[in-house]
Amino acid sequence: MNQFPRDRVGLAWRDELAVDIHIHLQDIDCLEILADREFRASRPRIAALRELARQVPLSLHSVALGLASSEPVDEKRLARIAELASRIEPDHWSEHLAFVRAGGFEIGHLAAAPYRPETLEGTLRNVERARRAVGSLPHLENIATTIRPPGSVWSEEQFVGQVLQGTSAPLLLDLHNLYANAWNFGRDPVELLRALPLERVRSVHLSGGRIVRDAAGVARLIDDHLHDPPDVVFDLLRMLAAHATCGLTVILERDGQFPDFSAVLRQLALARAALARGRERQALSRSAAA
Amino acid sequence: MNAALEIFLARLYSSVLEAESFLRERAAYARAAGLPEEHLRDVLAIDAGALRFAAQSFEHKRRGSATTR
Repeated sequence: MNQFPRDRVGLAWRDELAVDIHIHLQDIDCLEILADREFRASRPRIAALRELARQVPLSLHSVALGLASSEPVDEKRLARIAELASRIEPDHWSEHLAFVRAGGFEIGHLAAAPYRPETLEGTLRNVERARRAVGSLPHLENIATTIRPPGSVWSEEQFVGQVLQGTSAPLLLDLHNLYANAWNFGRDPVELLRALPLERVRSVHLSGGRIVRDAAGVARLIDDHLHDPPDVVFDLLRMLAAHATCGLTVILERDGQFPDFSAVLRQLALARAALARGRERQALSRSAAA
Repeated sequence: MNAALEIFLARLYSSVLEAESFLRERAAYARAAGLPEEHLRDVLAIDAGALRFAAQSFEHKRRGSATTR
């Protein structure tokens, strides 16, 4: 019998990878669908996604609700997620701890809202609205940011910790986002990992990025999803698996510059190996403590 | 008054031109935009390079896909 709930390793669905995903479905434990790309999907496509969800656990990933905000989340956007979820019947759904708009200004991407009590209160209200609309709590994902949110009175990990304390939502831990924030703000990624409530982690994102220099020569690591996850991300996954108490759903994200699918499969194998080493470490610690 | 700060940041993040206008004359821009005085110190302390980088990055994302992470 397995000592731990089963960990799963898979990848984010992209149409460019569809053929290879179907050919190698036996090597893929789970898939993630980007919700915002499917709102206008045809009936046959929805039927295909639903069929896929029956073959392999599927998560529905949302990117534009803007839950981490003192502004109320748009009910129409929530209704679209709810409808899509009811049609596809995913294993779970997820959204970021980010704001994407305010006062009619559309940022067009995930931004870190000020880490302060008013944002926390708004976030808790929005997560509850999301639960009511969709029928289940989203897995909440940490984001990457290259700017410290102005007006913050807490650190990112304090903010994330308080959101999780105020909801029952699981944490979707994006390890490259964590690494990028550590890199950009001179923090130790391992310290940052350990500061998070790892017992709440149910799902994980792995991705890659690149270092970009601005006009003044200042280097920043951006999470572009166009590169392979660096070794440190797999190291962080191993450390997470050594501490996480629940089964982890690990998703490899790639948005472009797709490598040969054999390279994708190698990255999934690296993730499985990291999970196995972490679980082994946790088992040894447990038996030593017993 | 957190909403006012979020709106102000969204304004800067949603346009490179707005971000540059702010950086040229921070206090005047913030007051003209209606930012409450209690948040003035927060936005005066914004790192100029980080704001420029963020605003350009958001601009780049907007020009690309609206459905990337």
